Amino acid sequence: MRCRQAEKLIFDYIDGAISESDRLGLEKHLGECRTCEVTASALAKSLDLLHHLPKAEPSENFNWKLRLRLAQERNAWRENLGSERVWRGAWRSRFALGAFSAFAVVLAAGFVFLRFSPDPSRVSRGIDFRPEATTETGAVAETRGTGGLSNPYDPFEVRNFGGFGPRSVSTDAPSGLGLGWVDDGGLFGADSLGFRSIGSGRDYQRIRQLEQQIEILHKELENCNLGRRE
Amino acid sequence: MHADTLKEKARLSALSDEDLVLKVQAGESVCFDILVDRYKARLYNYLLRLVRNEDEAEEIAQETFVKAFIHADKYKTIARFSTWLYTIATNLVRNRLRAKRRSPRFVSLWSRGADGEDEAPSVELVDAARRPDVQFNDKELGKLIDEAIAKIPEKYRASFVLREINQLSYEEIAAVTGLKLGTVRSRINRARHCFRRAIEPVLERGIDF
Repeated sequence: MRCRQAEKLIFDYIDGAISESDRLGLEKHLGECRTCEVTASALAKSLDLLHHLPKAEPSENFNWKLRLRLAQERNAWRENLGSERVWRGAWRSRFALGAFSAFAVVLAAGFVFLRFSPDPSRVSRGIDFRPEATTETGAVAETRGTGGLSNPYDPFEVRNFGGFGPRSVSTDAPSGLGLGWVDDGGLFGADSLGFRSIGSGRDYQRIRQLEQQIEILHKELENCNLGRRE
Repeated sequence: MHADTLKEKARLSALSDEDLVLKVQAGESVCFDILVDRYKARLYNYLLRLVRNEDEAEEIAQETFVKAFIHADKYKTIARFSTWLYTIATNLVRNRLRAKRRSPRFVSLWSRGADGEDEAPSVELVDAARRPDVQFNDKELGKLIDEAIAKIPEKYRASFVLREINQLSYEEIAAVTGLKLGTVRSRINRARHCFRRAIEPVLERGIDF
């Protein structure tokens, strides 16, 4: 048996909650280990001292003071009962007011969301394909500008007001694709191809692919025009 | 009439704590007096070991009984009445100690005497237990034991006192303190070591019991 284990068993021994086998093991260990023997003996003696602790008595008028206090508490409780009812009522009405406010906020948020969320059909239609902006090549002319976007670099502005944004954005993509570039050449788009706004890397990749396709189409168109002129 | 009252009181005194509380719940406040008589000394001694101030211990004991009486309807017989009472008292002590820690006050080292004059503090500069010329009587020994108990960290003291002085079981102490059984065990064992170290000078004097 190790000293650490013996120490634990000493406490079990003091509590009288030690098994017979553990008791025999402990006694054997205490016979061999002087340190544990001294510790066990000191612990037992020190705890024995507690039996010599004189019992203190509360004051003689303890019961009388208690009765007085109980009477006071009872009166105070009766007095508080009325005010407590008022508070409880106020608390309930406050709770109702809070619940109503929360409902109103949710309702307002829903309204704002429905009013200003981008409408895909409107977005795709919103791109400026004005005839006067069309070049002789058939592509849409250069009419670049931020057009009402306070910050063209802010993707959220484009996203949040996507329904209104495209009107002010030019495109050199063929009609129907609905791709657009804002002034700085940053991407922006809302189309009928399934993405509504640019934000994720996946959208960006898709647009890059489409850009490449458009470039190929441009080249082909140019070749055709050149061939026609010749 | 008086004889009838005494007879009735004797009959009620034979009831268990839990039965008495049930009667208090039913409106028989006389039963509460019996409970107070049964527990006031035990509770007072327990509180005295924790707060080390007679007035404060008595005040908390009274507060405990007041709370027990007001909330008697909340008592459920699944726990022993004594456990419930000690729980209330322990929580009250805990709240007081917390409040004291939060707002430490400057207390005069000089207590005021009955005549209004300042008295010198009764601080013993030499440990009485180490002086060979001192012969302990019960009162002095009690004082030394009290001092040794006071040296146990607050954290462990309540569990220790409940176990070693009030003789509560580990399960009851766990219920009173709201601690896990293992934690209670380890706290009591640590406290026992602390107490042993604190009382060692007394033991070294070789007191005969």
